[in-house]
Amino acid sequence: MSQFHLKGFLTSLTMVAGLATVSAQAESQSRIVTVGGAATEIVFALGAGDQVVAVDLSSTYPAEVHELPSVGYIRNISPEGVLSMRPDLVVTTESLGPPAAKKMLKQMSVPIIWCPEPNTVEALETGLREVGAKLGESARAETIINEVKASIAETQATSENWAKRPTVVFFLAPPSASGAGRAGGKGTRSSELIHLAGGKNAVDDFENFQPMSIESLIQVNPDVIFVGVSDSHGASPQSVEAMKKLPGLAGVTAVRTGAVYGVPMDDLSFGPRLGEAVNRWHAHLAESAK
Amino acid sequence: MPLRIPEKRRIWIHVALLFILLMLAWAALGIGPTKISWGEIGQVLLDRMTFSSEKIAVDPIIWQLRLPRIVMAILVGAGLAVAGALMQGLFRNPLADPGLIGVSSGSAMGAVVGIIILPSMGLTGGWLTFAATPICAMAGGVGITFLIYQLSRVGGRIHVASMLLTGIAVNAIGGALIGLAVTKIATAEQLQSLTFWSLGSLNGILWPVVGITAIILVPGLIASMWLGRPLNAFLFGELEAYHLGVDVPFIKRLVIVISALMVGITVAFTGGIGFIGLVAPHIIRLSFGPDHRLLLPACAMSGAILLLIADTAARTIAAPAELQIGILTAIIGGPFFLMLLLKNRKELSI
Amino acid sequence: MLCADKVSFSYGRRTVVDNVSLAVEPGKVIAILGPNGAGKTSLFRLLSGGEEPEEGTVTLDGKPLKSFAAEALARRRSVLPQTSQLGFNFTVREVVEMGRLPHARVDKSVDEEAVVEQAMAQADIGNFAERHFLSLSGGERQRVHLARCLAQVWPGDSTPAESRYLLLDEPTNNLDISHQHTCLREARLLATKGVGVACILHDFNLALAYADTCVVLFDGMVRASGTVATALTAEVISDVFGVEATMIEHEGQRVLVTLARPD
Repeated sequence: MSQFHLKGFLTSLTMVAGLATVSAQAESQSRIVTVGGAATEIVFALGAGDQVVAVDLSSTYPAEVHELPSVGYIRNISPEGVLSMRPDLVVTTESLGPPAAKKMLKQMSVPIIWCPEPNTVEALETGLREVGAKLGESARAETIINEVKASIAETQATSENWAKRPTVVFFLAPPSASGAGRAGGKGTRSSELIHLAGGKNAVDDFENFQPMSIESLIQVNPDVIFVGVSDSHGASPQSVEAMKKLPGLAGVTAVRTGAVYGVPMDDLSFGPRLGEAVNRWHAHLAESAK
Repeated sequence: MPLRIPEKRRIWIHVALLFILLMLAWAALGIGPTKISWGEIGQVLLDRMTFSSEKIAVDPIIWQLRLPRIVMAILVGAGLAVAGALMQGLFRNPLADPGLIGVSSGSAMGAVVGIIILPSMGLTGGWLTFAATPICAMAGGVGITFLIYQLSRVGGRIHVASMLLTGIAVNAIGGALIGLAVTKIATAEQLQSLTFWSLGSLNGILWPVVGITAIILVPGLIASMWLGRPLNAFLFGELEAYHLGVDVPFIKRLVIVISALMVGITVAFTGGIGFIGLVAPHIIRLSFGPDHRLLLPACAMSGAILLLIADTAARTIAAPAELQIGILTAIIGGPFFLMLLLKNRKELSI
Repeated sequence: MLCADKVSFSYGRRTVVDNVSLAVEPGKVIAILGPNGAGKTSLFRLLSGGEEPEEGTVTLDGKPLKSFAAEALARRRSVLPQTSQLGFNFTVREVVEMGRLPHARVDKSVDEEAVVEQAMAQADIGNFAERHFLSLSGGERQRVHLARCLAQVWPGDSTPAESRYLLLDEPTNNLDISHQHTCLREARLLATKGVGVACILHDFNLALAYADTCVVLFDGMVRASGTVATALTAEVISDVFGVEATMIEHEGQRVLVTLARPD
């Protein structure tokens, strides 16, 4: 009996021994941990990328972040995991979870910048300004804000002149022969992005990302279909091609006119590259708006 | 074959288990993604015990991150293991695990209902913000346990297949309702995630939560220790227990209420951590026999030990990221359950 | 005295005990006989307090059974069930110790271990006291339960003034013939020490040899009662069981013999 527990005790000790030293690296400059794709991109855009020591799984841009240790998925963050990276600053968004960990981090003495939930241009502005002020890069932040705003204003000016606003469905995962896809409803980042790009979200009878059957897709009959593509999460380019060939979808306007596009999943991060994303989506929509 | 331990020497089993538990707790305090020396840990504890105003840099990590979690793991592990042992005594079957027969699902449903329904009826604020979820979870647990007990009792005997099938049904309904609530109705912030309710987590436990849990669990655990004798008689059947002088209806209600309250409070704060209530009592029974007078206190400690090991592993294996604790308990508990199922095949004929 | 006075009990519409009266007297052994389904076990449930009669009363020393708390009652009467559903691996000694459950904390002067030891010796299970219950055969389990019941009504501790009762539901089930006699000898021995014993039996000859009085039930009703000599006649047996029976005497003992009836 006691042998059993002793064994368990020893196993857990050995499991742990090798892992506790992950963070042992000496550096003189400040150490930043970023949690959330937008937070990471903001810090990198403001030129502080070389100070970032750890990111979360949802941070996929720029490529350097793949070399950094991961503190886990943004919705399941371990406070001690973050603190073990000995950060001088944590930059994250209000999406961080679970709620208990968020509450706990807010009570800790480590300086943390809580960017607003990144789903609007305004949220991006606030995030950029706060992080910019903290890093002493306010001017650079303003420049980025102005660029993003200008770029969006430009696209919007063009779409004003369109004959109609194309209806769009965005899929996190495309419908396939084996099941329904997950489409972005009201209030999602994809919905906001479609709006900014000059389109109209064809799915407005539900909120969040929900399963959407092929039959509902035929019923909605969008002008354009976007599918989020990514190596780590989201769809693969192959699945987008496979979707076009699904029986029954041939009659849907988007499929008939070839307006089914894979778009980078990163476009939804609402980071400093928002203008780029809006432009990309806008360009696709323009084809169908004529 | 279990060892036969004379009654007078049983105290040593408890002492040994308690010693292992305390050593593990001490070890767990020193284990984590952040490297902290034993000297610093001693300093933090000394500062806290002397209410010193000077605190060293790692104080928050020890005092606010690790210690509450360790205390919570001990409480929850003990609570789940004892609740499991109580239910197995009540159902007269070693397969009656709170997670498997649906009590955890019932509590989770209660918690979700509490989170969604009460605010919509305007019942928020004040003490309700803190108490609503655990109260609803405990109510759900107690209700479901009574239901399962009634449904699985056929002619004064517990029908094992009915018990497990009721559990499957309740788990399915619970999973569906929680899934519906998490994805359709409430915001993710309010409801935690689906994995929280199915796999559980001790991540981010704060002292006030540990306190509330202790208010329910400590009296529950103490009351359970008094149930050893009547539960032994219960193993012969309800009528036999009555013949042996047990007030059957009273004990039955007491066991259901205590075990379901303990499961409810843990589910409300740490989600559905499975299999502790199955594995801990089983290890003790295999080692020392089924006598509840030994089983119940020994379960409290072995359950605490198991969950402490699991949680320490959960927060360190994938460090600096966090692993779901339910994954670890299921990896150990699943095969245990299969083994028990095979041993009980004869009784399972439907 | 444990008395049933004109008790009736039914499951749904089926009356299984119909206006039955009987008395279990301290120092006496009463046998209850009757064909399958005659209501013997149901009558036992009424006597043990496991069920309440729909009509009539069951009293212990003049007080209604239901006025006793379960524990107080258990100190004075013990029940050996026909079957037991114990599925956990207790040792034999632990099962027998369970019989002392209602006595715990009542009288500290009783040497509990000695009582358990003696009960095991009397049921002839002393040699496998440390074995596990689930590894035993049906007959051995039956003897273990008998020892548990003996331990529960063991005379001589706490309350000598109060009479004790032992209710045995087919105690000879699964037992070989030698242990059938051991079992009833023990019951008899307890009776001489003042315990009232009621015993459901299928073997008339065991009843004739060990019981003082008997009740023969048929279809929930008493068909014959009184001392075994007067009540247990060849006529009653033929009548109730529908078999031909005849009484013979051997070395002063009366033996009932049933005969195959040619079709």
